[in-house]
Amino acid sequence: MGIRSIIAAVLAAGTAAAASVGGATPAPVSRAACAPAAGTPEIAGALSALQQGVLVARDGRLAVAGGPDVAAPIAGDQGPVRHVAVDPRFGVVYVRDLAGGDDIIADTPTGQIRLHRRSEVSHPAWMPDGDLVWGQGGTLRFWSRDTQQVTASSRPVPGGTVFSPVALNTHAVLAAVAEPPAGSPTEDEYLSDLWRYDRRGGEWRPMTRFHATQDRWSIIRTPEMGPNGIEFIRVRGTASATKEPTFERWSLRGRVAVREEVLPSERYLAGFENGARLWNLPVAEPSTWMLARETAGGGLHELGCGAVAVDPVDVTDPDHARRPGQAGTEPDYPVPPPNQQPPAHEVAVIVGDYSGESGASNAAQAILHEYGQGAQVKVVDSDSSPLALKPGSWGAIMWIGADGDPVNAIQHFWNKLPQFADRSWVVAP
Amino acid sequence: MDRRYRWRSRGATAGLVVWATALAALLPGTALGWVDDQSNNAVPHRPNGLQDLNDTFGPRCSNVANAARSYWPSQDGRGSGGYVYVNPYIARNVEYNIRGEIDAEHRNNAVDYGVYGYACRQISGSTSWSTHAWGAAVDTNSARNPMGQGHWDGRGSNGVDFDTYIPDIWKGSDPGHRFYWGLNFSRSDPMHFQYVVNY
Repeated sequence: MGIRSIIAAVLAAGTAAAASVGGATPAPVSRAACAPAAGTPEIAGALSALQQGVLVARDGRLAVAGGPDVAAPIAGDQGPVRHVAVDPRFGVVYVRDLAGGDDIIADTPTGQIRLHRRSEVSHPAWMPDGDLVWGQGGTLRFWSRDTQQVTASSRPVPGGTVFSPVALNTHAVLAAVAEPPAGSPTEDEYLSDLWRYDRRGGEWRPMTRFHATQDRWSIIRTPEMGPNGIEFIRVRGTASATKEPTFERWSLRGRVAVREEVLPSERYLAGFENGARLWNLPVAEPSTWMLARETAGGGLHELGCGAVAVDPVDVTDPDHARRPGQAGTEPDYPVPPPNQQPPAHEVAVIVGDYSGESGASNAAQAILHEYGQGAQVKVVDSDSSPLALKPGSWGAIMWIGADGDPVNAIQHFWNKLPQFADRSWVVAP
Repeated sequence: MDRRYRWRSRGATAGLVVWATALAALLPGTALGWVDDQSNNAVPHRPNGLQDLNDTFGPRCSNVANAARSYWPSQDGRGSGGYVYVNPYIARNVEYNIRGEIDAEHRNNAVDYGVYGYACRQISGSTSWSTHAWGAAVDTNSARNPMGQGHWDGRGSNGVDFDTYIPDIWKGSDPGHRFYWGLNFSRSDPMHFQYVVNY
């Protein structure tokens, strides 16, 4: 019999709670603030670094947030570091991200363990008995400290993706499981839930049952074991909409998922330190992650730059790195200097779609009224502008000129004619 | 009611016609009425990395990110057309250069479903945002070219094999339309064409 979890959407204390987790995203930080001061010596090893602060992935390296880098124990270590997890009893484990298959590196008191995998891996973590677990495609993988062997779980969802495992005890693991896309396999995710895997029986069972569609998506990120149990981030959005998705912190109380708070901005859990929540928040310039500790008063104390369970943004993902010379990869073609370029093709702002000419004509009149008689405005239909209008529809276009900036033009248009903001686009009629 | 054309600058229009006609006659490889536009306005700076992507396209999931559109055949189903939305920053390139060339060369049947542009979503299992969230990417012929497939299936909506006609259009001839092909990712994504590298 399937187990139905009860999703209790408890909004904790409304906006006051939402504001309690630290308000706005941190202000932009300088690149220098994210790097150790010049001449700062590297720490000899990951285990030594544990005494100095929270370990993060920063600029592709293992580092202490707000502190020095950690020296690579083996010369020539390849690939940027991501997904760092620590258990003081067993050591530090992280991913060396390579093009194609990745390495899992575990620095332990008895030496380094290197596990090369033939495909992308994510979020390695320690089990309570010193084994390792990580996500790999549609399964969990376990490395046994006793046998040194890697075994795979069954697949909870055919075609799905398993990531972010968290050990509940020596035999049970909680992990996020993403459903496969309903249509063609794409890189995007529209639905994930938390599932529990039991190593003894090899059984999966869902712990949450969120609902989503391809357009109105709901995904789970960065589950972490906190002092009061599992916490995770749920992100909800609408793929077709142009608005910021919603970020929420949830907890799992037994089999009941509870929404604890709506977060004021994008942020993900990065673990706990002495019971205090750690957060990774995106910083736009330079592109990086800020690590912050939640204070007793609900504010944020910045610890420095670096990523824990989130994907680094300060280095290029080797799987997406440009590979010049590969078949199908274009070279860097020279762009002709401005005085040798042909004039740009004209594009236009269109207001549509109208089922008849009268609606488009009225829109054209409104554009002329606002922009003046000098504006080049025209009523078109799908016969005259088949690349701009679906069959049988009409629209009003205003040319923006060969030198016009389409981004500025559409924003200016929306400012002048806000009544058309939801039905105007840049087109090439 | 007669269709009313409201040209307010007839001189400019006449000039445009003369210019376009002259270009069509002079430039090689052009279809009737369509001329590849290699100006910086049409093929603008292509960002390199996430920060450059943000600086160039603006914030992800913003109201500008899907503010340009073009009508594509077989967009959401074989033979069922629809709009594809992208960032206006690449409007001239996607709408005129690429969509315009396919139409001018009478090869709309080379397009097969689905064709998708803007989508505010994250990459599966990742905290990284898809390039579609900036309106900087288009998936095309996706049913025949799913992520993970290591080659391009060039069959169009009519079942005819157009070989690499569609990818060649997105890449473009020298100096090119400069879209980067997801087939080159480690986990190949042949349907995917993005106007950014190293992200």
